[in-house]
Amino acid sequence: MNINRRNRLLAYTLVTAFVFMALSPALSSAQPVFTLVDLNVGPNAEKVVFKVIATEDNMILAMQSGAVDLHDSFIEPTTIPIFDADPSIEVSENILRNAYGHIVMNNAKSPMNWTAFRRAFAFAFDKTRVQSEVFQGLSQLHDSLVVYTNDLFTIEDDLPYHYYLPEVERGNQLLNDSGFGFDPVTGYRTDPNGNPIHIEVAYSPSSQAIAGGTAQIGVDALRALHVSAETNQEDFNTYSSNLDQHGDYDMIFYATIFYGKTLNYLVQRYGSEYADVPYQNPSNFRNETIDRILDDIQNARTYEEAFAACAEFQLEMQYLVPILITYENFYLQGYRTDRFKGHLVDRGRYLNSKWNLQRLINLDDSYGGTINLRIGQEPDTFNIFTSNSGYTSNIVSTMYSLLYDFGPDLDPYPVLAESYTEETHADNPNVPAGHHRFTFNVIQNATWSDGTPFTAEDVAFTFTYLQETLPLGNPSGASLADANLVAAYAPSPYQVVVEFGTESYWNFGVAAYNYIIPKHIFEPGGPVGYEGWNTWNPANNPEDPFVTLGPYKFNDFEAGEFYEVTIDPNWAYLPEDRFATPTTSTTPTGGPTEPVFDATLAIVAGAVGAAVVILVGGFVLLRQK
Amino acid sequence: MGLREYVIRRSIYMFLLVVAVVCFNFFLFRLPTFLFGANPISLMLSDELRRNLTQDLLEQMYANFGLVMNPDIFDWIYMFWRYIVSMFTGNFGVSFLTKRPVMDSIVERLPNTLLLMGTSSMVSILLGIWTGVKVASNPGSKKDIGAVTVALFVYALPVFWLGMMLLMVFGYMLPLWTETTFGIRIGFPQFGTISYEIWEVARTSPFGALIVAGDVLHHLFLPMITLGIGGYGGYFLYMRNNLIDVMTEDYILTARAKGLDENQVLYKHGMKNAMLPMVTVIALTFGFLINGATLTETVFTWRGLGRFIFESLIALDFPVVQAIFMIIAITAILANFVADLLYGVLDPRIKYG
Repeated sequence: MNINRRNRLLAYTLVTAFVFMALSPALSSAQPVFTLVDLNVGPNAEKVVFKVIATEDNMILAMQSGAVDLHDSFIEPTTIPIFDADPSIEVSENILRNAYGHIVMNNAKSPMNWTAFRRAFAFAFDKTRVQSEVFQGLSQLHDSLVVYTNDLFTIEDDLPYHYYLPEVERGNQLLNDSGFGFDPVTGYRTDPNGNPIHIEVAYSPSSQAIAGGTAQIGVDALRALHVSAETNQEDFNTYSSNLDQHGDYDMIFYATIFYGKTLNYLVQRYGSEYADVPYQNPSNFRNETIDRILDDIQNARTYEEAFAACAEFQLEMQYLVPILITYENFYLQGYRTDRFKGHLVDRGRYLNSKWNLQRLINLDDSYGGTINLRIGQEPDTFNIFTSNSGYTSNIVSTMYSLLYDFGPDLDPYPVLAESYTEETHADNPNVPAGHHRFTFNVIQNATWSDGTPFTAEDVAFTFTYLQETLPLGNPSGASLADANLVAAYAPSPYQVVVEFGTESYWNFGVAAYNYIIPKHIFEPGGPVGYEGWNTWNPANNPEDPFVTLGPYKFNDFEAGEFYEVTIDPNWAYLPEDRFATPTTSTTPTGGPTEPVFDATLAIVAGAVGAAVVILVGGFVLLRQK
Repeated sequence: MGLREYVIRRSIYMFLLVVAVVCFNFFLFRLPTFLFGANPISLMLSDELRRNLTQDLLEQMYANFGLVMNPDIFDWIYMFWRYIVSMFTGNFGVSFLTKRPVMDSIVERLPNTLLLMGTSSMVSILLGIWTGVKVASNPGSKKDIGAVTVALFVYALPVFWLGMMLLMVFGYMLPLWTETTFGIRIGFPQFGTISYEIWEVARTSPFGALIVAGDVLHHLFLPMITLGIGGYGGYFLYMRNNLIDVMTEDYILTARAKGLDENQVLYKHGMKNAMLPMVTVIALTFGFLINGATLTETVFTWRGLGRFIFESLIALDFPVVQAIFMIIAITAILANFVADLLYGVLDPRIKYG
C-alpha cells in the first residue's frame, strides 16, 4: 500500500511538473521576445492620428470617452484609480523610466562645495519617503548617476553602500567631524569658516506633487542636519537659466531623461573644464580624479574599457555625490485595450514609441484601423534639424529611419542596416592608424515615399550633409565633428563606409543613430540644398518637399488640432500579406462609431442660427417701440 | 476746435502712446533676462543637443535668433534699435518656438480667437443688458436682489473651473448617459476646434465646408458659454446701475406724465440713454478681443492667441509676444478712440474741443 501511495505521489508530482512547465510561459509576465524581423515588420494599422490635447484633465476625459487610444506623457499615481475604473483602460506600471529625478547641488558654492556636506545630505535624505509618499510605491530606489535601465553600464546593485534609508546621525557626525559648527543664536549650522548657512531647494511648480514633494523631503533632510533650509518655487526659465549660466543657486530639483545607453555625455556634464561653460556641467563640479576617469570613458575603445571606466566613475561619484539621485520612477501610461492589442514595453519611448505604433493590431488580428494618440502640444516644425520638441519627435520617428535605432530594451536595433563591421588599424592595415572604420550593409528593397529607390548613397550623403551644414549652424553635425568624421562613401549601392579619425567605443552611436535623408532632395541644387537646412519647413510650407522613409508617411494635418500619418506602401518591412488580404475600414472596431450625420451638431447649428434670428428680430422690434 | 482738429490731435497722441508702449514692451519681456539671466536659448536646447554643443555652434544659434551672448550696453542699444525698426516696419521676425514667421503663426490663430471672443462677448453683452434692463425697473425687489446675487456669484467663479465643469458634464457625462440610455451620443466635444473624425468625412464630401463650419460651431459652444456666462455679470451690473440712474431723470417723469406705458418708458427712453456709457465699455471689449482667453483656450484646447501668448511668454519667445502685444496696444488704443467718437455721434450733447 505504502509503495503504491509513493508511486502515486511520484506520478502526481511528475504530471504537475510537466503541466507547470507547459503552462508557465502563459502564466509568466515575461515580455514578448522579438527577433530581428519582428520589430521592423509592420505597420499593422492603417493610420496614426496625433491629436493635440493640451491639459491632462482633457487627456483623461479623451481616454475615457475613447477619443484617443494612447497618450504621450506619464500620469501621476493619483490618476491610476480613474483609469482603473474603466475596464477598457489599462495602466502600464512596469516600465522603469529611462530617467531619474535628482537634486542638483551647486558645487561651487558653500557649503555644497564641501564633499562632507554633500555626503551628509545624501545620508540624511530619505529616499524611501519619495518612493512611498510621492510615488506611492511606483518608483525604484537609486543612487548611481547611471540610470538603472542602462544595464550595460550601471553598477547600482554592486555599489558598496547606498543612501536609500535615512542615516541622520551619520550625516550629523560627518558634519561635526568636518568642522560644521552651530550658530549660538539661531541654533543652525555654520560652515567650517563660521559662515551661516541657508539653503533654498528650488523646484518647478508645474509638478507640485512630485517636484514639490521631493524638494520638501530634501528640506526635511537638511533640517534634520540642523541646516536652515526651505523650498522655493521657481519657474522653469529661471532655474534652467541658473543651471545653464552657472548662476547663483543652492539646490535645484528636476528630472533628466536619457536616450539609449551611451555615456560619452558624462564628460560635458561633470568635467572640470566645463564647469564655467554655458549649458554644460550644471552642478559646477570639479575633481581631478573624475576628470581622469572621464578621459578614460571618452577614449575607451572597447566595451570592456568603457565599462571599467564607467564603473570606476560610479564608485567615485557615489562618494562625492555632486548631485543626489532621488528616484527612478515607473513610467505610468494609460492605454485602451478595446481596439488594439500588442502593446510593447519600450523603455526608451514607452507606449507611444514607433515600435508600438508599427506593432499594434486590431483585436481580431486584422490589418487596418486608426490609432489615435494624444500629444500635449502641437509640433514646432517637421524640420528634423531645427526641431527641439519631443512632440514633434513622436511623429517624425514614425516617418524617418536610422541605420540602427534604440530598441525597446535600449540596445541598438537594425533598421536600414542589415549588419555592420568595424575595423581599426589593428584589424585591417588598410585602415590608417588611429582611425575607426564602420562598414554598413544596408537593406536593398527600400524606397523613399516619392518612389525613389533608397541606396547607400543616401546614407553617405547624410553624413556629408551634416558635416557641410555644421558651419552654417546645423547642430546635428556636431557629434560627427567631435568624433572627427574623415570619410563617408558608398563603395557599392548597398554598402556604406563611415570612417572616424578617432578610435572610440562611442563611435558606433555617432555613426548609427542619425536620421537618413534623401540625397535627391538635400543635395546641392536639389529642392533644399545646404543653405535650406534651417528654412526647410515641410507640411507647414506646402512647397517644401516631405520625402520620408519609414513605416508611415505624412498625409495631412490641421495645424494645432491633429496630424495624420498613413502607412507607406513602399516601406521595406511591410508584412507580406499586408495588402493581399482585405483590411478593415478605417472606422475603428469595438469603439464608439462616429456618425456621419451628427444630431448634436445639427441641433447646435440650428439653435445658434435661431438665436441670432431671435436676437436680431428682437432688436428690430425694440427699436420700433 | 471741431471734430477734425480733435481727430488730428488724438491721432498724434495715439501714435506717441503706441511708441511708448512698444518701447516699454522691449524691457518688459526681457525682465526675466535682466533679473534672473533667463534665456530663450535654454529652452531650445534638447539634452541631445547640449552634449554636442560647441562654443561656435552656440554663438551661431544666438546669432540666428537675433540674440547676443553676454551682451554689453552697446549690444543692448543695438538690439533695442533693431527691435524698434522691426516693430514699425512690420518685420516681426521668426518665432523661436515654431521657427516660422511670427505673422503666419498669429494669422493662423487669429480667426479662432476672434470667433471665440466675438461670440462669447456678444453672449455676455446681450445677456448682461437683457437681465440688467429686466431688473432695473424694480430695484430692490426680490427679482433684482436675486439677479444681482446670481450675477456676482457667477462673475466670481474662476472661469477655468466653470469651463472644466461644463466640459465634464456636457463633454463626458452627458454623452455617456445618452449613449447608455438611448444608444446615441449627444454632447459636446472635449477639445480642439474641429474633430478629426468629422474632418475625415468632410474632406471627401462636396459639403465639406459646411460640415466643417458646423463642427467648429459644435466645438465653439462650450467655451463660448463658459466665457459668456463667466463674463456677463459685469455688463449686467453696469447696465442695471446706469438704468436705475436714468430712471430717476426728469424726462422719464415727463414720459410717464405723458401717459406712455412703462415698457415704452423703460425701453424707448430709459434704455437708450443708459446705453450711452455701455457703448464705451462695449467698444473697449471689442478692442481687446485679440487678447484671447488663455485659461478657457487651455481648458478646451482651443487654438487661439490667448494660449499662444501664454506659451510664448513661458518660452521667452520674444518675437511673438512683441508682435502680439503691439497689435493689442494698437487695437486697444483705436477702440478707445472709436468709443470716444461714437459717444459724440450718439449723444448730440457731446462737443469736441
